[in-house]
Amino acid sequence: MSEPAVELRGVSKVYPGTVPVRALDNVDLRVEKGEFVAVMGPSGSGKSTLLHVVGCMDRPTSGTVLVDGIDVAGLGDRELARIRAEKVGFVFQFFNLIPTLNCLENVELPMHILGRLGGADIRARAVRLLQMVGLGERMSHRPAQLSGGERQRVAIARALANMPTLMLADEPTGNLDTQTGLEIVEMLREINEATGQTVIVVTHDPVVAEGAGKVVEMVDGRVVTGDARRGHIAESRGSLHRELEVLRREVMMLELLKEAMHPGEYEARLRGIRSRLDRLEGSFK
Amino acid sequence: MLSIVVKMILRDFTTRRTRTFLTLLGVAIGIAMMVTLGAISEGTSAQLQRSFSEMADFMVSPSRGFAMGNRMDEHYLDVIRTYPEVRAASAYLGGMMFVDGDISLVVGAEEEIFSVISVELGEGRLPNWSNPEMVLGFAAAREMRVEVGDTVEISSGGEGEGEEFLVVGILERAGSFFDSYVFIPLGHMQNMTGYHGQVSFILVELKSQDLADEFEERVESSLAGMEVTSPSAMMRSIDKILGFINGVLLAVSGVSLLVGGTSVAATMMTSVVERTREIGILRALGATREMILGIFLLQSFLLCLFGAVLGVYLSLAITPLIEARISEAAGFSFKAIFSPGLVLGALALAEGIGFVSGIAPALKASRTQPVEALRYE
Repeated sequence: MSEPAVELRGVSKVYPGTVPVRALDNVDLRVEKGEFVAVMGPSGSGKSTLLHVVGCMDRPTSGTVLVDGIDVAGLGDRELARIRAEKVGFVFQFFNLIPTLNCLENVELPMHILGRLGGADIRARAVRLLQMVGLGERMSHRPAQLSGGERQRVAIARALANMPTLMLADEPTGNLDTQTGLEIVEMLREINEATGQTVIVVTHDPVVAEGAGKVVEMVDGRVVTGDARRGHIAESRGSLHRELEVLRREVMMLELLKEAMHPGEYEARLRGIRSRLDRLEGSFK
Repeated sequence: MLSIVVKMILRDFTTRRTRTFLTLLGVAIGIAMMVTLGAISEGTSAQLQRSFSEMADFMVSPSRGFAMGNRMDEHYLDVIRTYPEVRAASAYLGGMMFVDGDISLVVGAEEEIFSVISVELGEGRLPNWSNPEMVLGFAAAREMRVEVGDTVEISSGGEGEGEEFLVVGILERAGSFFDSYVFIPLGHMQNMTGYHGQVSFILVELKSQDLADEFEERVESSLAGMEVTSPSAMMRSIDKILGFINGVLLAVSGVSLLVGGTSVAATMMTSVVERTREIGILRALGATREMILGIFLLQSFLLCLFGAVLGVYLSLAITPLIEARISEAAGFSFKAIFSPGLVLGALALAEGIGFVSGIAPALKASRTQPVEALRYE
């Protein structure tokens, strides 16, 4: 069985001050690769803090955070930045596109930051991603020239740019009308289903939660439902099948972006998937 | 990475055009002052260098001091020529005369004058020093619109009393005050001025600079009332004084550059605060602190670089006006010198300012916490 996309063990986050705020209180959470998880809860329940800790934007006060099997709690700023670039894609409530860059450049930005691909490869992949979110015709538009829904689609393309382990969305529909919000949720779900992209969405929109495969509810910094360890029972045939499904989706995603990828990177990812498949085959026997 | 960062910075400049331009201007004015002063200083220095290489090594004059009215007996010349240290010596009788109606400095001299001062003949020939013939400096000839073969009237007073001289040669452009001189034979000058048998001073060139002390001693011990001065040494000290004055002026323009630098720092600080959210986005996308530091330092560098380039252009635009004023005042054509070293030095200085002004805002930017930055409205 492969590593979970992310695993939290006993994670707490305390903001110091005259009255210290315990934003996360001994949280355990496990998200498998390929899952679509909605994190729900009232304002101030620690949802965003959870997302920031999972996304390596913030360090926990105590506990262990494993992203793709890497313990990130003890990493320095540079390593955390590297993990954000490589393994995390963010989608925000207020889109957070760079206003001076056009759509194409906004999608290219994370690839430039990671610095793994050359300029031509970066451009080709950005074009493909924008076509994928249906903005092939608006690539040279600046964010200010786009509607909210279009901006969020650019943000989704940007989040996928480095083919991250985790896609983290913080209230992605919070700044959109109901119809557009639905379209965005639908798009996230489609990406999850078609490509096996792991998605964690923080929301208090029940419609968003409906589309999710798993719902985690938070109150006062604690996870109250959606037992994080539910999927942690001994390996059943069911979980093996799900793992197989994840691999199948990853291969699809890989094929989808193959043209825009550096051949070396494509080979490496394919090799990774193949070795996991071999291990999986071993477990079936 | 670099290309997209430069794109972001340049677009930020163009979206905030007015502020960027005003900040640029602050740097540009400082750099323009500095480059202009530097170019004028280099021009002056080069001019002096040329002048003292052209000028005679030594001048023997009455010890009452060097003044226009001082005169000495021309027989001293014969004595000085017998000194073993002397390679060449020439009489020099200068005076302001009317040359074709305009006042000009006329020098009565002899054949050896052009062995003592080193100005080359540009066209024509040297005068036959017993005939009424003359050679002119480059600028004098141009100003009087005179060519070889023309006749020019020189007089000490009113109209009609003058003597006609044939222009036989024009000197090469020297870039020094010799350019505006008129040279005629000593005898004619003495007749016109009435100073028969007299000269203003005697110019001397030695066989070697090492003989300077011996020559001075010999003059002082054997020629009573005469003293030796060295025009080239004088000019060297003038050059030093000018160098010092230029240093002070450069320091003053340095202060204006400092003001420019302060405005860059202020602009950068504002920019960091305004772009807090952008910093948060970049950090979320995986940019390290060092990248953020680099981005804002680069912005400051570019701001100062553009300011400096604008400043250099500004300087190129105003310097001809200053050259014209100096030429007018000095009576010879003055040229400022924009050496590559000067321009590169100014650009390097501007980049230094860029670093100093940019480092604090860039550090502030790099220390911004990503989560807080994303919350910034």
